Amino acid sequence: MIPIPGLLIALATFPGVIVHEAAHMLFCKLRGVAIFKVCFFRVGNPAGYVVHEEIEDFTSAFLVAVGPFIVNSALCVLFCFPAIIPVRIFHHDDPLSWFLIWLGISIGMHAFPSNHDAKSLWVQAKKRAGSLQPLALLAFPLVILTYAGNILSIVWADYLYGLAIGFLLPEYLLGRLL
Amino acid sequence: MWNAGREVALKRVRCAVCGTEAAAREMYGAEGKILCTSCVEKAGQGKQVARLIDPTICARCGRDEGSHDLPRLGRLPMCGECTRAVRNVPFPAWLRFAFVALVGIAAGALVLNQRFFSAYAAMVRAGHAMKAGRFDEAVPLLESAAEKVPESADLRIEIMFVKAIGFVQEDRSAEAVPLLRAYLKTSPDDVNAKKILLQAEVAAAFEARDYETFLQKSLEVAGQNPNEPTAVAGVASAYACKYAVQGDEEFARQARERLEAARRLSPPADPDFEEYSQRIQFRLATREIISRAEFHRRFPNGWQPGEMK
Repeated sequence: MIPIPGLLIALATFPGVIVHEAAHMLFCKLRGVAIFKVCFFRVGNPAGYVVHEEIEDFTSAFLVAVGPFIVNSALCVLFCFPAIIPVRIFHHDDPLSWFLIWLGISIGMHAFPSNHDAKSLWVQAKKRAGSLQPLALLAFPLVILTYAGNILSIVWADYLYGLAIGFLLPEYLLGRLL
Repeated sequence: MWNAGREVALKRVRCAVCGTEAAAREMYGAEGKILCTSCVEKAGQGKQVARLIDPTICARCGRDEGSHDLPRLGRLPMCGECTRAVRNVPFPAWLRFAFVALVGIAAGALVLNQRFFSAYAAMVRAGHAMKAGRFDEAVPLLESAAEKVPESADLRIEIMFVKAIGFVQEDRSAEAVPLLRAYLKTSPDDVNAKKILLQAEVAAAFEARDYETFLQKSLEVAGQNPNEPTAVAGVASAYACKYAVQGDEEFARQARERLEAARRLSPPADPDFEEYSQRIQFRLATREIISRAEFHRRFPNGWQPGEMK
């Protein structure tokens, strides 16, 4: 595996960064969380961010943190789906299909919540762990997975995740359904 | 980041370094010291710096409420209008437009690529049929897939292979041989297809009464599978055919020897092997070569040496 600077990856997969921030924003809006500032994409670190009010309600905190995982994964499948069978099964190389695959995989690659999201979730989950709230308990393995995913992104774990859900999942599901 | 820092109740404060007086919300707190915008960079270096908050001024729009403290959003004083605005920040128009456009493109691609999906559906169904051994069902499904995606060379090749398997299943090996040979030209590394071709060549030679080729191909099969009882018995079958046609006792001896070797390799009382063995023994005893179907028609309960035709 070749390590590529994060900035180049962010540039090459910028739709994923935009969708990641839009997903945070979407869940903020759905849960009535005040948003102070949104940057969908910039050349810098982080490549995008959403500044919102401190969230007291754990369900909202959980959803805002894992929002990108849900939205990016779903959109990755949505965009890859129309192109996957022509390209993978029939080796039909047309620009539209490859565009959709690039778009889908770029979005899927940014599905993992950031370490910052994971940290906020960890703090909130620790406060609620005593109450045995199912969502709080679910947050712990999720945070660990997020950290692991972000560490393993040096060996392209984020890309492999995008590839798995964008390429393999639709084919597997179609094979099961038909 | 939006910093909610130390708050002062005064509207105007003085910079601790240069003495400039300004609105509190334009000043900074640096570990107890109040600093103006010009001094904060130098004097605030290495210190924890936060913008001062005036509870009477909206942190977003800067509206001055005089002596009236504004309600807080988090730690920030905010007027009602701004509170509503930050709770309902709309998605930017370019984002909404881009999202709708891209979903439209994906939907368009789905429609354009519909023929690939129906071809794939037919291929999956053909796969299920092949798994169940129904190759006759699989072929038309694959052919309908090939009609939808005529540019797919892989599909045409696969059809050739599946058709060949169907022919082998129907004891029409002579028709399977050219298809398998053509398939192997494009997939020369397919070991499984090579094995099937050899088996088909054996069967085709038998069907064509070309017993010399039948023997040579059977020897090839047995050479590749020396511990396979049916492969070794295949050689016995070929020698038995040669004996039936030429009457040379040497062929009969070779046939019996190979049949005995195959029996030693076969599990005891294996009904399939027993049936094959009976057909070879019948051929040796009568010098008559009949097909498997004919043998079963004449001897539905099997044949034993000494039994009449």
